[in-house]
Amino acid sequence: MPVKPPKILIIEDEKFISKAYQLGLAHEGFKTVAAYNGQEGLVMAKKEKPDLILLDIIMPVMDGLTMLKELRKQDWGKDMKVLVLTNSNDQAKNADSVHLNAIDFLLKSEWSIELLTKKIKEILKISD
Amino acid sequence: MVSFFIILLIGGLLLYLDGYLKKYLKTQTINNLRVMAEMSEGTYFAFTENEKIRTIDWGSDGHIRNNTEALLEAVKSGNAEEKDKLAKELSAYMRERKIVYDPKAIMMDILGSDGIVIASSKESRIGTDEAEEERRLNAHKFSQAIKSEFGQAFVRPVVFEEDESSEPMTHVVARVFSTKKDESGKLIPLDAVVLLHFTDADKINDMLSGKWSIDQGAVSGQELFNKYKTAEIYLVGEDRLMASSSRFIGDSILKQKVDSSSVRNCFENNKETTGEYFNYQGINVLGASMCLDRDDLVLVMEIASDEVLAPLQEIRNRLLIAGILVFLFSVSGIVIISRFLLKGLLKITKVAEEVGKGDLDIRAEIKGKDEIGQLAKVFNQMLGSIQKSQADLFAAEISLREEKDRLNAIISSMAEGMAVVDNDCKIVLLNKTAEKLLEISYDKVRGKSYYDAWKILKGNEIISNEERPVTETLRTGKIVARELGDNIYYQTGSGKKIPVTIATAPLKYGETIIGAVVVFRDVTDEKRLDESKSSFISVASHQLRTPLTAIKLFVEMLSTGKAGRLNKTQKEYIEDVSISTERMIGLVNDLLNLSRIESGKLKAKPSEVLIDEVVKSAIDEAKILAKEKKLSLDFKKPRYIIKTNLDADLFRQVIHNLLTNAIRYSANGKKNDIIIKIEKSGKECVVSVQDFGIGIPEEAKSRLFDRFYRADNAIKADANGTGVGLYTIKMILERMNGRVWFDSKLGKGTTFYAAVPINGKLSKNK
Repeated sequence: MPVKPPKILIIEDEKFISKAYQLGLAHEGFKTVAAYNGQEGLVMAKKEKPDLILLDIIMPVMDGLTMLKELRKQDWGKDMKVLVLTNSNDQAKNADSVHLNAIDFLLKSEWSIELLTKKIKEILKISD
Repeated sequence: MVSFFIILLIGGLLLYLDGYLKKYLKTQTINNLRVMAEMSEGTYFAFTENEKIRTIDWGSDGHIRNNTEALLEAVKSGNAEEKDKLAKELSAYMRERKIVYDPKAIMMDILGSDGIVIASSKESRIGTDEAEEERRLNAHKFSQAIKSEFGQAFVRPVVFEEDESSEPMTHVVARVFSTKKDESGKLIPLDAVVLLHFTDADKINDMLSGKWSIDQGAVSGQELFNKYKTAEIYLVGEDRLMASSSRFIGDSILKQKVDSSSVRNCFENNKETTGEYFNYQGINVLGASMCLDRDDLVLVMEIASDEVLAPLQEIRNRLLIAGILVFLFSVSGIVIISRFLLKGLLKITKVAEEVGKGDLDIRAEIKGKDEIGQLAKVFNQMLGSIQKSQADLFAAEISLREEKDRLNAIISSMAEGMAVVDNDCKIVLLNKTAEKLLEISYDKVRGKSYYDAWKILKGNEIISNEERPVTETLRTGKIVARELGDNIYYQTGSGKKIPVTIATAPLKYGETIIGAVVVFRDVTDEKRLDESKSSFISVASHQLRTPLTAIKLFVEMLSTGKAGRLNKTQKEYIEDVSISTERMIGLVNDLLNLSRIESGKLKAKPSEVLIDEVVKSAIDEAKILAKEKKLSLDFKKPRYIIKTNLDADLFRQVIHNLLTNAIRYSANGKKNDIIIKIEKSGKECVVSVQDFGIGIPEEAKSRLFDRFYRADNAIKADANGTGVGLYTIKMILERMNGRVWFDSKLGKGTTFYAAVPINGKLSKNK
């Protein structure tokens, strides 16, 4: 684990899930920040410059894909690493998100924190 | 036609009658003429006999005989005085006591043996040389008479001697005999002849005409001449001159030359003639001739054949009239009879004409059992059947028209758009809905290329003409359908995109494809509904999974001790919650998956894959589960490496489902093996998964692929199945043009086969 822990922005409207991710990832040594809709997420992303964003799709105020589009328009955001985590089965949205340069599109219910941690470490090239 | 035959018949009959009558009339006339000629001959002979008798009689006069004998003596003795005295006396006697008693006798001569007149009623004639006249004119037959016996006289009729009379005469000569007899008592002939001159030309004519006979006391005689204007009877001398007067030519005696065949026949061949010939006038006559040898005469009896046949003309006229009458009668008879007989036929004809004008209600009103009646009956029956069939036809036409109208109405009022194209893909029909939907006027696109009429898109991309459903239908003759999930759009005239579902069907004439029918539907509403359904699925899946995810994550936190240590019981319980949560998540996934497949939302993304790799990844995935059940997965090395185009994820799901089933129902089996094979069968690649588990009961086999169905023994073996696994397999394989089937024996195990078409390369597995 490096000196400065990686910062992960969790954009998730479901408070329980957000909480579980925050707790779980913190437990794994990540620094977590949370936003509860796309708009908040944009603000937080700009402010916090996270190493990785876990982005939910279906959210109030601004949904995940809109947020992602907006993010990609920003100089500071266009190369930001984004992992889409959703419970929606919408394949079209899946395709759109990949198109918007998301790293992957994961079905939330299939991913335990353990597996997710592994995935994040792979993405951030952090070896155990 | 009939008239023609009647004319022919009557004409023939008339001709025959005419010919027969002509012949009959001629023969009859000729016979009559001969009879009359013979009679006339008789009359002639009687007439001349009269003159002969007169001559013999007067020559036998005692005074004349004595004086002649004395005169001859005086001549002989040369006593001139005596001779003159006796000659004068005899001449006077003859003049005064003989010829005055017979008006016909104009002169009476006594000729000496040398033919010189020695005494005459006309004294100036004494000394005339009659022998010379005989020689010159054949005036009489002195030379015969001078040698003849008593009682003989010789006639020379029709002699013309101008010095004697202006009339022709008949000369009769007879020998004069002495009043004394010789020793044998015979009269002694004298060398003298008595010559009587009769002027009897008119008498001969009378005789010939029959007048003489009447004068003689006969009842009739001139009938023939009264009856026939051209009838003629005349005598012709050896010199071929007429010896009696002609009825037609005045002054004919001894002047009119007659050289007809009848005359020639008589003088040259001594043959009497009867028949038809041209007479001296050049007229065609019927005639009969009698040869009067003794007098060198021919008696000719003639009637102009025209006159004889005149009655024939009359008969002919009458026959003609009769013929015409018969003709008219028979024709009118036939007409009347046929009218009567054919009245029925005419009636039928009239009815037929009316029928021709279109009146089928009319009937031929003919009763009777004859042929006409039968005909009328049959004709009426025929009319009936015509009327019926016409009515049927009319009804059929109406129903056909109604059918057509209905069809047109259906086509034009169809909610679906419809286009019909010929085999060149030219538009031959476009219904109203299509016009409206596509914002196109049928009149403008009629006969034009279907491809140019409007564009078809899949999503946002225009489909090439070759890939359009109608092209495929025209090429293959198969029905091609594009459904909601195919995301097909038509671009309208104004450029608007409307989502459509399409079905194209071939129009076939026999086996030949002559065109195609395209039926399409504006599925804007369905699209919207579909989208809302999709969003429902999306929302539902999200809403169901979200709490489950939260549970799953917190259970994990608890079980991994992130929230503090748990005692053994707590740990056990939290493990149970975890399993239930996972099952719940699995169930939600299955249901959502199924919903997606059923709605066509599940998109196959084919790519070229190696079958054995896909199968291997599915086996790897299932290994953990198999290990838990202490089962081994035995993947037999395939003989071929098969490449084909399919959606690898979906096919993996199929194999995965088969493997999880095999694992689930093998737990209590005899063997703990699950055998996986890949084989090539024809153009299919068959993946088989064989277990030695509980097997499938007979009653369950037919329902095995039904949604939510589970066999009883399966429920007993594992209560947690959802009953959608095999259904999902079947749905996915059908989408891939593949199929699924199985072999099973209850309690002995089951083999499932999943087959997909091979459309890629095939190579041997080394």
